[in-house]
Amino acid sequence: MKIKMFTVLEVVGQFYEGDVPGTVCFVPNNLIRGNKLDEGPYVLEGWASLNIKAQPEDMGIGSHLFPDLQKPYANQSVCAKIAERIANQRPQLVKA
Amino acid sequence: MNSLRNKTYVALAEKASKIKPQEGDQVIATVYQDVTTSGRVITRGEIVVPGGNTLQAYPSTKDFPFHFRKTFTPESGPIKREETPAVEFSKTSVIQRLLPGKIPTPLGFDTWTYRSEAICGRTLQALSPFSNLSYEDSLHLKPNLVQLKSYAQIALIICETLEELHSKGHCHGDLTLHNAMCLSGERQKLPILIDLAGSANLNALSESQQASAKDDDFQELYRDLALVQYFLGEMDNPHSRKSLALVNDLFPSEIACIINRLPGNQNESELS
Repeated sequence: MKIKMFTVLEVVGQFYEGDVPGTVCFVPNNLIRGNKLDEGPYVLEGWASLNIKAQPEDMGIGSHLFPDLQKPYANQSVCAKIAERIANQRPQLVKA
Repeated sequence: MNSLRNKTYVALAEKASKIKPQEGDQVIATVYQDVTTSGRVITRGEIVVPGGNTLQAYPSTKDFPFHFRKTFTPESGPIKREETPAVEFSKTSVIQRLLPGKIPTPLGFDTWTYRSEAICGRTLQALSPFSNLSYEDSLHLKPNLVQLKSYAQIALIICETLEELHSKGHCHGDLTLHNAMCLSGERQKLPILIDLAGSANLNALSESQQASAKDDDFQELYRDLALVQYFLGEMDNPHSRKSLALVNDLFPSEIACIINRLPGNQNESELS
């Protein structure tokens, strides 16, 4: 399956299913090293938090959402929706 | 304990049912990580399917298809504050008896791990449109007003739960947006308090310490409630009113000055 690249908040990456079934999250390409997520920067740069906040209110657990890198996500309209919800959380970048 | 089986619970239970039994725990979701500025993970919150060793050591984990496991390191903030897994287990057990249904059932602990019932809801940190934003950026948000109203209702039921805890003689002691959750079902929103290792018996404190401990518990919630009302206009609730009365104490003066203007009154028609 060919995976489409997205640019979210000026960062290039891909969408994956979240580890909580029914969720979808964006992962910057530079945070994936040899099929493994670089967890520290993923949390520090805010992606763990941005991704959970981009899910519907009743989906996700806790404060963070992590991807299942074995499961790339391909539904482009859902990806676009999640991308928009992430962007809307960062008004300083949207303004720019 | 919590009878609410929402979409997330059902999805995780299905995922857990496909896990083959093993000796060690199987992580099915990571729900929180505390990370140092250099990117090292120092505390992990995970949902696990218990392995044989865990089931043997903590028999009550058998009652749940999966549970929450928090793994600390010597660098974890709570460990440095001497809020060890043993302390968390003991204090959570006390508070659980006072607020049944509003605290996850503690299931066990050892030197570096604490286990409790998994709550399939999101923390206020993950629900608040303002978390991770500066105050200035928060005021520039263009939030969805319907979602904002829903968030305000959740924050208010958490305030009521805290009030109930205080009335029963205890304070939370570390009420950040990470430590309050909402368990959402189709028709219900249940407030849940977590991370109770810093909780304290108010009767052991002086009168001024008691007042200060109670105020501290409400502080982050009141900040968000004040920001919510900046967009929605003044809400008719004792906690939301108090949050506005405290704006000058909760925010830097230039931000307080803007919030006090409450332009949200103009947005009311968009909610109807």
